Amino acid sequence: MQCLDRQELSAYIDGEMTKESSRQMQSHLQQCPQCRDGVLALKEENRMIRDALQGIDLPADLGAYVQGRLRRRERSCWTLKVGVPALLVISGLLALADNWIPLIEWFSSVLQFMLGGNLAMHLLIFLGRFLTIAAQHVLQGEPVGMTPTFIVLLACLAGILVQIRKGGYDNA
Amino acid sequence: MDNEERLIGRARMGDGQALSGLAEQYAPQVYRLAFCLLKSEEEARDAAGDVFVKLYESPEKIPVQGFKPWLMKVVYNHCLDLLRRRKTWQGLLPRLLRYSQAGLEPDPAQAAVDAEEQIIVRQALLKLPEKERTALVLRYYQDLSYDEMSEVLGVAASLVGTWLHRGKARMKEILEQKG
Repeated sequence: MQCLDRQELSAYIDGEMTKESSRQMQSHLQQCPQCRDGVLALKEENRMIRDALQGIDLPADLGAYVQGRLRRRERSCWTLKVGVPALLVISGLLALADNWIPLIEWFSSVLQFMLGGNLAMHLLIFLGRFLTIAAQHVLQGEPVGMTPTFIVLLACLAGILVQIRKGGYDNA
Repeated sequence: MDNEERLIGRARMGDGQALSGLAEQYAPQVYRLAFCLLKSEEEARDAAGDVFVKLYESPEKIPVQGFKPWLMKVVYNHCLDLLRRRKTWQGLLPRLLRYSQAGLEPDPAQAAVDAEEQIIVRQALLKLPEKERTALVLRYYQDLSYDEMSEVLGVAASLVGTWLHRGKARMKEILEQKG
């Protein structure tokens, strides 16, 4: 058997040769000091690379961060599965009462403060509310001022900003 | 059936606790591969979070067999996406984009603790082209076979051997230049 080049020697060390080639290589190594040195040098290189990679420091909070992301994702799933239907039911009930719009706003703001979840969804809800209220004011010919609904709307925005700041959103 | 297989089976059914268990076990490996690709501690940590959230969102994609190579493929593809996006954003908003090069230059306190050899080798490794760097990480840190690596990288197993060889040769050159 002829001496192998570095790539072939590397494949031998990595256990990536066929059984037959590997067997031939073993008997060749017994007779060839040059290839033996090559194998030793490559093994040393591999060890250095392995040690260098295993020595990459992990962030102290890696585990907590990943678990936190998973918990938030799980929670936002529950927001969609339970929170949104619950909000719809409550909204329906409140619609039967007077002054129901501020109450709905209030409930959804509380929900936003309590739950993280999806930023895009919250921003869409916020924009929807803003446009609805603005349209109501325009249609009724009222000036846009600090009405109770607008104050609650600002509370929603504050809720979103608080969640962004404390990392309550997966995608922010 | 071992503990990991049980966890994988439960995670496939959408069990959040089982996925947490897998995350606990694999987060360091996911982070280190992401770090070698992204060269940023912060982005690698985010990528590790993203990958496990992806698994939570599509548990049915988790394979029964060969979980680790599959997971590394998810990490690799996710990091490639991030690198592509980073290039786009770098072009559009160079001043707003700030990614840490931490890890390339170790801080003094860490350098005192870390073996000097490890730091030098790691610096050389991080200078390699992306494909060769990934191949070395998958082989010598993740212990994947050439076949598994070819699955992750989407190339023939013979090319994997070439990348490993080229990567090591290039590393040697970098280390020799450094003296």
